[in-house]
Amino acid sequence: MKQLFTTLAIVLMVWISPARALGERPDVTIMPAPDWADKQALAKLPDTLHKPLHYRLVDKQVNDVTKQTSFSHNRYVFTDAAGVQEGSTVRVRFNPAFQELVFHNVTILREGEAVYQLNQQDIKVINAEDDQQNNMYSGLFDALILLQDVRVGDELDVSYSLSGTNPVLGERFSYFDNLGWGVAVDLLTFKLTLPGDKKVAYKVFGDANAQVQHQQTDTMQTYMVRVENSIAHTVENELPGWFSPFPYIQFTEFNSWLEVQSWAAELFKVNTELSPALQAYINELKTLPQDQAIEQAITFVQDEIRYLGLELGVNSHQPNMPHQVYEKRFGDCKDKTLLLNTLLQALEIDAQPALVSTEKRSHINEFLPTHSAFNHVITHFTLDGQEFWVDPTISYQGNSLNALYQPDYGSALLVDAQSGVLKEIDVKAARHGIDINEMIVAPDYVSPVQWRIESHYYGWQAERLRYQLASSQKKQLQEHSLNYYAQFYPGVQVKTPISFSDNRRDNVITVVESYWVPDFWQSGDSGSVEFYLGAGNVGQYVKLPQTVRRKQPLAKVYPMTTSQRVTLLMPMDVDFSALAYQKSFEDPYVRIHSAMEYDRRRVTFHSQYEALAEYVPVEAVPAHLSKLKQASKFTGFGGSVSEVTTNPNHTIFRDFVEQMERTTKMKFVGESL
Amino acid sequence: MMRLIGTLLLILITSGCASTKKTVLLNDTQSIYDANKILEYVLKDPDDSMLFDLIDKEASETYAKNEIGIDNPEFALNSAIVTVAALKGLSRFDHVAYSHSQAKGNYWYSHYIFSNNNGSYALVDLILAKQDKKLVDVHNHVFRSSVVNYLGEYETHIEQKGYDDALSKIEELIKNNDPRSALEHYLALPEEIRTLGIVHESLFRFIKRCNAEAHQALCNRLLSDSQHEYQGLLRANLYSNLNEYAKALSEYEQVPEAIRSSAPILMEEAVLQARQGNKQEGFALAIDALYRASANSYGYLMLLQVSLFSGEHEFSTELLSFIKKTFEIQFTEQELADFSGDSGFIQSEQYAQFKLGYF
Repeated sequence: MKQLFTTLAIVLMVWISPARALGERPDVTIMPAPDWADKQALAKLPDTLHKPLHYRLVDKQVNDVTKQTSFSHNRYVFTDAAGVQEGSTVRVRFNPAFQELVFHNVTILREGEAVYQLNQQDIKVINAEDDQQNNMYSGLFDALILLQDVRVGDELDVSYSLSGTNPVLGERFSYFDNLGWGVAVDLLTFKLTLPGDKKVAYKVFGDANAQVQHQQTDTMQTYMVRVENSIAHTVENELPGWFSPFPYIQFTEFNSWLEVQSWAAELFKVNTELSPALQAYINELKTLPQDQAIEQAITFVQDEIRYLGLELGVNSHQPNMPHQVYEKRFGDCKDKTLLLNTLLQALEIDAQPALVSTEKRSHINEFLPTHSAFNHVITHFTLDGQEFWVDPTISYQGNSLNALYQPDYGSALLVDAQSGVLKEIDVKAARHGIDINEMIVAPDYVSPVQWRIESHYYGWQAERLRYQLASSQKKQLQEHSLNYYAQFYPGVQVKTPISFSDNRRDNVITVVESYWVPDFWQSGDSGSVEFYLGAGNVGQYVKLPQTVRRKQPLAKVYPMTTSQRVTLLMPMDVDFSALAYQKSFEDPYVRIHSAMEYDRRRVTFHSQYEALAEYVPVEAVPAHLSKLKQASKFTGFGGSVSEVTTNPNHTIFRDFVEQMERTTKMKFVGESL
Repeated sequence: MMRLIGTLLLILITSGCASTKKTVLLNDTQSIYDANKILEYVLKDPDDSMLFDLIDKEASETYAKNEIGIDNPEFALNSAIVTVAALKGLSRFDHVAYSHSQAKGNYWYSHYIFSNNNGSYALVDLILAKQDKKLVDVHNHVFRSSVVNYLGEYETHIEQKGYDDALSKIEELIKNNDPRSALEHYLALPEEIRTLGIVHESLFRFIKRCNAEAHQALCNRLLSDSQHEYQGLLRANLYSNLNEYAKALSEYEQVPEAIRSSAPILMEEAVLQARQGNKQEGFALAIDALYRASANSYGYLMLLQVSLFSGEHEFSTELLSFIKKTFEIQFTEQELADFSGDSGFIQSEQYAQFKLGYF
């Protein structure tokens, strides 16, 4: 049920007045259910009940005849102590800036008798800013009813109504609702009532069998869906963002994407004069060559305007004016986009907002046209025939246009284009990933080895690291790395401090680390020593997902190319060439290459991983996982050298270094460095 | 061309004549791993017939045609001879350390570090054809191009355009220790010739050191005219003045990591640090080099220099004993005096005690 409420909260658009945001507690009342709400007849309880909660009814009725109101009626039985724990709090999320919440009934039934009826004083209203850690403030509140004396076997009946819509979304009707949940439901019903002359289209996703009944009179029309014995829909991990594990239905009054473009174009109009300060900045940009001015404008909006989403008032969808954002130095995606577009337009670049969905991406074209399809906006412009898609909310990007990481959001609706179609985002292919070169130098089989790691971060990986570098101390990053490596070699010690070199122009960061590893060699049988060269960074992408037997698609980290080369410089030539191999594993989703080479004193293990697609379709998952399983056997190379410790000279180098340290009274190998 | 080859052979220390005997030292089934072992065997004991078995007429002709762009059997033969001579020259180094091999097209580039006890070194790619593993070229990284490429460019840009004599004259002036006149003749060359890499490379091959005041104007001019990939290595090779040397070492940053962290380079930095009084840094770098040159006397000999110039006389005596015991290398008193220079080692009490048991 938690999923049900969470999804509801996401679907509902948010808008709140500043006064509400500052702490005034919104009112929640108790009133009888509206007359238009149908009462659903409950089916007889089955002999076997689901645990820990058995849902008898999930009923949603939306009425848009006058003021849009959604009536919810849910009823479930507590069948286990875990259910009592999970279901004894009634929580309804709402946005008091434009929504009114009315409870109709909260009753606990025990053996057919009501043992609890809702009282006004039992309703607690608390702030519900779940996203504030991401600097997003949306003005949401939760109405909580903390039920007491709930026992296994009790039954809870809850009904309430939410009325009102965000005015910034206009008069056009647009609505999504689920037709299935993560729990089984005896009876799931949905009903939409509209004025007879309102023309809406609908589409059902994820349930080909769902029957939508449409009834029409002169003054009224209804759409109804009834699902008996709705199954529990499982949610597998590592799902692509566009995929919903639950069936759902979409209604829209928009006839075309052109109508959505017209709606959005109004929002992004700059209807005030630029302030002198902003004009002065524009004049400063104009003194630069155009390419440089564009790059500087992007970097300024990305790095100097901090991300802060005050999705309050009309600003849930209406951006603040550019001069306000410039002066306050904060904004969310639409604020930053409008400011960047204003700067670029002043540089005679035809920049425009592009509405995108960071979750649905190219699957957005599966929706019927609606403004509710989008959750983000970025800047689009064309320069010398080349298209650019710039996300002004990403900070610490490469500062050259050619090296700029342009996230591939799949499809976008260009606001000013008035084209009536979604545009495919075709970003320039760029390198995103990490190349790691490791060199392990061993002078013998007993001394600590030197371990040098040189990593090159490209594309979005460089940008993520750049952000970490800006927000963390170098010492913390060193500690973090040391802890990571200590998983493999608990005795690892820093040889020379970690260093970072940032080539922001090409968007590449190079990290160099150097360690002493006293426990690299592990004792084996009969005087032998063993070693292992692992490609952990590649290995993390090759391992199997948590849910292996899947009914849902599998997401891949994309775009991503990573390689790891680990070279061990042995104390002497021990011929491992007979063990050399090259293996390649490829399907339409990944390309994995693994090789071990031996070249006198050098044992090299090399592994490379490239994601070729964003996800693996469910029908291709078994073959793909089989491929991964094969590849996962080749994410490292282990070897052993025999008769090492039986050689009387095997400690000669270590003894020599110890003698040198004693005589010179200096420390060269190990911790003190 | 023949005069040039004659000069090169002199520089590279040559011997023997061409042999047509074809004992198959390296066959098709051998890996680069085995091929390199044979190369090293020959480098250790450069028998003429074995040296010439490393080359092959057809392989050299294919290399000259496809890689250098010269389809001329005579050129291929000459360049093969110079390649063998270069290998023979390299065998004169005190130490040969194999680094790694890399496949490029139809060839293997086997990277070696050749070094002498006095610290001089060469970073060299020995280029072998993948087919038959025949030696086709030698590329000393301190210089701009490989031996065969150098010959090819020389023929195309210098000989065919008639500047052979002018360049020979400059080389002769350098050899005769008249860098001032050499610079004048160099500046008199037409600009189109003066900007050629082959010209700078030719002259660098004749200049031993740039530290002498008289040579500096010529060196500086050549270095500034050339856009050399490994400018730092070249500079370090040409200067022994500490300040210039340190400056050159700083340019190692542009050199690939595999070379920058190779034992000879680390040792050079270690000795420089020691001479500048940075004892801890000098020893730390020397340890890094020792790690890479494990079981090799070269590393310990360089460490000895670091120890001597750091004033660690007691450890220097221990190290000399270690080198004697482990590698059976014993220095004469004169050699030790030369090695230690103005470090004060010879005058130290530790040495006075030590020499009683050492010699």
